[in-house]
Amino acid sequence: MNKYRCYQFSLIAVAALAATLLYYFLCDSNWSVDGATMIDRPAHIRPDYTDTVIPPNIAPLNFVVKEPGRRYYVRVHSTRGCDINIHSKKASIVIPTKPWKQLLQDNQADKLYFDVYVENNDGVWKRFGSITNKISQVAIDDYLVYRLIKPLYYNWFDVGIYQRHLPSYDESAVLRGQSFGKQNEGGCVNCHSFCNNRADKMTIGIRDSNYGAPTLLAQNGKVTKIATKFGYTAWHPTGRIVIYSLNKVRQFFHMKGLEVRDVLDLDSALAYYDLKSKTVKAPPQLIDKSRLETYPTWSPDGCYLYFCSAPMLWSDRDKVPQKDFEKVRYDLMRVSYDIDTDSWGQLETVLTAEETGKSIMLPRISPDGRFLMFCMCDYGCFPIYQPSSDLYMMDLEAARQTGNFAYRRLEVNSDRCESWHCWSSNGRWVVFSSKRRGGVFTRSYISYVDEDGEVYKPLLLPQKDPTFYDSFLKTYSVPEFVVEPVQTREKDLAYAVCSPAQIEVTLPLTGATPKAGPSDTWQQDRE
Amino acid sequence: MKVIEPVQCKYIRQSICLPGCTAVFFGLYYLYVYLCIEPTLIYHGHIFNLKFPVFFVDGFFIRSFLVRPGGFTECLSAFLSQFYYYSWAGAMVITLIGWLYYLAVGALVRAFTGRDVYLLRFVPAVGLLLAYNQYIHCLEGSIKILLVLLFALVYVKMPLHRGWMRWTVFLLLSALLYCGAGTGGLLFAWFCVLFEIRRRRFITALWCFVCATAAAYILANYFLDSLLSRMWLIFPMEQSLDDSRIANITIWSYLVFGLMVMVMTFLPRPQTATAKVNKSSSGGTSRHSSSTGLAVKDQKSKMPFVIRWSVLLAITAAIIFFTFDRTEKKRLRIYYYGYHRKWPELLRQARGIPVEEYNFFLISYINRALFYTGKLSCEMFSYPQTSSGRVIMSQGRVRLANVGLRFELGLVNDAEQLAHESLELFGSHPMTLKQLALINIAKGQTETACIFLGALSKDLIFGRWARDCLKRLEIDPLLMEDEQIRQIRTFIVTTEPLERVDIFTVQLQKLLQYNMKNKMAYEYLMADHLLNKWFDAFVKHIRYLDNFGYEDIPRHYQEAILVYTAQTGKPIDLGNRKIAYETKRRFDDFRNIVRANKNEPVTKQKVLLKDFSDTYYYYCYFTSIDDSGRAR
Repeated sequence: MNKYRCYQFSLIAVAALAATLLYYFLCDSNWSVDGATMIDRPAHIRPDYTDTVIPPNIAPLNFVVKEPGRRYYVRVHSTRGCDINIHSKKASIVIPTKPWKQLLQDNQADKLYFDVYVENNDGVWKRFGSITNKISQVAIDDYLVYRLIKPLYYNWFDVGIYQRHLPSYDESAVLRGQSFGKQNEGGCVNCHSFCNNRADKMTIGIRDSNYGAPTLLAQNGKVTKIATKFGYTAWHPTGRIVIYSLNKVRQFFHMKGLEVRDVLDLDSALAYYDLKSKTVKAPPQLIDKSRLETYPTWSPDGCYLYFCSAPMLWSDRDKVPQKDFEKVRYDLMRVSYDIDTDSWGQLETVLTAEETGKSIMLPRISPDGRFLMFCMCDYGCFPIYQPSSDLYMMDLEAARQTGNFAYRRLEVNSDRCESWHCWSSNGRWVVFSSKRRGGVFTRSYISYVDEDGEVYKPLLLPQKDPTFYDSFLKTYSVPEFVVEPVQTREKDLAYAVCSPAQIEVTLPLTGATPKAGPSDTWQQDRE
Repeated sequence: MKVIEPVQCKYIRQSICLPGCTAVFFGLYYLYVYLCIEPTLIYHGHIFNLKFPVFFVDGFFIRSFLVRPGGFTECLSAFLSQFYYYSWAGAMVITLIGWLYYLAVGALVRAFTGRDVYLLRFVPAVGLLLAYNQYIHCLEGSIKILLVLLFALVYVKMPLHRGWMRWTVFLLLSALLYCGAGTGGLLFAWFCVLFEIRRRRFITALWCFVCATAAAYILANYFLDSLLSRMWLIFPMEQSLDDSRIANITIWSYLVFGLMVMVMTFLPRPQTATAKVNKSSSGGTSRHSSSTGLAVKDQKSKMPFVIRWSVLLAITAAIIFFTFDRTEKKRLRIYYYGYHRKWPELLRQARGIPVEEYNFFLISYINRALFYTGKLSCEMFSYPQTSSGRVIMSQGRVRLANVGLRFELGLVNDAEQLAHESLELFGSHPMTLKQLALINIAKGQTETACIFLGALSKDLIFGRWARDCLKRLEIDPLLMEDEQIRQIRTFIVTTEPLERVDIFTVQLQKLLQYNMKNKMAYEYLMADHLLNKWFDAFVKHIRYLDNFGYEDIPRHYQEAILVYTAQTGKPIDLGNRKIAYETKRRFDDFRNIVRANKNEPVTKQKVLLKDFSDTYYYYCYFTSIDDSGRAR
């Protein structure tokens, strides 16, 4: 009998609990937004995913509703397919991935709407004007490779190159400095570069107090170490040579101003590495001692090398900072090249700093060869440290016809620094680094570029947690699109760093042999 | 008289005396850690010691631990370390660890040997106290050791007798230990191997040994990309090389536990109850009981429990007394007071530090305290400004301690650089995040400040401050109502040439040129002149006393004026101010002693040290200038 009563009592208790819970949920599940007051503007959301063009294969654009309220309801819909309804008691809106992907796939070239409803403390629902984005028909490359570092000065400890799968939020390490640095001393990884947006051929620069400043060359999973530092690197479209800069780069600091750091190339030149012969060469056009050559990039047909060049304004190549560092402005140059004969043409000036009044940096040409995107800043060689740095575009096709290298400033710029842009393999997307959110932390933004060269409003690289960027203390440096994941294992890359086996190279530069080997931060000296 | 039977004695001991004594011991333990060691000092001294772990209440942060071996213990250690901010809470954590050691060792010894060696249980707890006496933060290692003990206990207690089953369990536990602790394999293997030897299961012992060595080597090198030392040792060798104190703990911890296990292995087995009964019935002396280790009936008495207990306390007290690092405590207290801006307390604490223990960190904090108590210009030389010490230290790790000073001076870009260096080298410590937030607010970079505050809002201790600050920024994005921020903004140089001159003296001059109300810059500049004996520059700036409302000339300035005048013969226009009679008298006395002991440098220094060590005369006389024109 006692046992029976126990069971009875338990049953009643469970039933009561269930009823209470049911009542609670039922009461709280009254999400009816019929009769919501219409607000004649879109809701403020963060990140700003409004009026952008979205790749059809991008991960969900989760966001935070920056409107005060106690409950939130968002309806994501388009012309076809099922709506996605998200109910949330928090302002963070997390869109489920599968329905999102389906919706995007079903509505390419169509518009995507976010209808945002917010309930205030009085239980009154407000409906804001629809947020509209457009879904592109053109997919974006599946992967984005970038370096994650904290805003650095002299020391580094936790630097790594990572790859992010754009259709999801998956991120994995390609190579971290701590994988080969000693305990409590991380190595530095930098200057990652891919051939034709493919991950089967890539280079990564290394800086480490124990292993010097070599370059890793990964081809189809095999890693070799080249005993010289590749600065800014560009693969020839054939994959047979890699051109890179040699920089005597120094960092210095400002007493005033928002940006503390600055960088100066006391000297620089260009050289290229032949993968077959394993030799380095440098044509005289690219190692003018009276000039500073840097930032090489190839035309898609491999017939032209574009690069930046500035007159050297000082004779003392050791003093930092130089008296005239604010006067250094780079021109945009190009030189023809024949890969089959390994011969170089004459230097041509594409655009001068005198014409623009600014320093021209980082030229990158779209895969179809039509557009050249570059950045310009008030002075100097390192645009990411220049708040004045903006993105510009030049129509090379029009230039061929008119002979005039006209350019225009893009509307995607902000009042902070924009730089480090990269084209996707299909030439319809571009990713760039921007410090528009605060001025210290660089984030990656993606913009659609149509056939006419119009660059659409950028969207911030989406994250699963919509508040991710509000507390993330690292910068996204040098984002590069790749069509496939990097298959080379981190372990193999780290092993190559630590291994004594390396390809020795000698630079046939008179009086300008760079010193690689255990060296200081930043530096590769020219003697 | 009632005779207490042996069984009753045993009951009293087991149920009252032992727990009571244990409670007393750990009560005293807690009080000692709370009142004497003060764990909050370890928290505040993070930048000067090994990296102090951070912990954020954030899924991303916690997940980053759990995906790697040893992440669990790191995460737990990081979480518990935050309690050190409050000494009482930190003391509870340390005492808890000590108590868990006590329980674990007791259970292990009993399971190992069948006996209870009561005093042995306290050894690891005392060892832990020894480490904290030296202000070595070894919480993570301690948790790992506890985990090893727990796993060893599981292994020892499992009721499996077949060799292959025990060996399999050993492998599983080793793997789990690697996942949970990421290390400690060697110690665990040591326990298991010796246990098997004690049980005379030599084949199983051999297999365990092979697994612990060869298999671990193969796994580490070919599958797990892990250094073997990291798998085996509680404190990996690389860490030990960085800090000799960690090396000492490593060695001691392995010695202590290694020896303990050896002792347990070769302790004679306790007699069975039958044997005891037989022996006692034949009139022999009874030995220890199987469970308590205490004499049930001891005709020829062993050491009484009270005496054993007293010996334990005495040994513990002796260890505490002889190993306590008083100087380190004083130094940490200075950093603590410096952080909390308790300047008078800081100066009081500084007085107790021997001259030879001074370092750049201390000087920096002391000079700051002197400034804020209005004593920099009159008591600076009462504290050792060592021959290579300057008002501000110049490079390396030392600079990282000066973020606050740079910020208060108005050198916000400097402060920002140093704080970012700290962020990179020492991790996202909440104090660093707070500094960066304030720096960016002062620079008007509210959005960036919000990112630092966003990260800081997830900290257990500083989270509330960060959230309050974020709310304030929503209303007042530039925090115009904050007095300190407003004042610092007036000091920030906005009109000078762009490039920074990396010489502190020049920076101070620029600050003063920009804002003649920057009293801190003025006093530091004058201190810099005095330290380097740059009298011309000092005299040039003495006229700015009027800008800062000095009624009289500060003592050290008076002393410097007298030195300058005596050296050059040039008078200085002091306006309405005069040199105090007492200062002149002391100067004359100083010179007389110097003259009188011209040929006896040792006596001269001794006499001068006694009466004039707090004067500028003494500093000036015994400090030389190097080739760069700076004092050394």
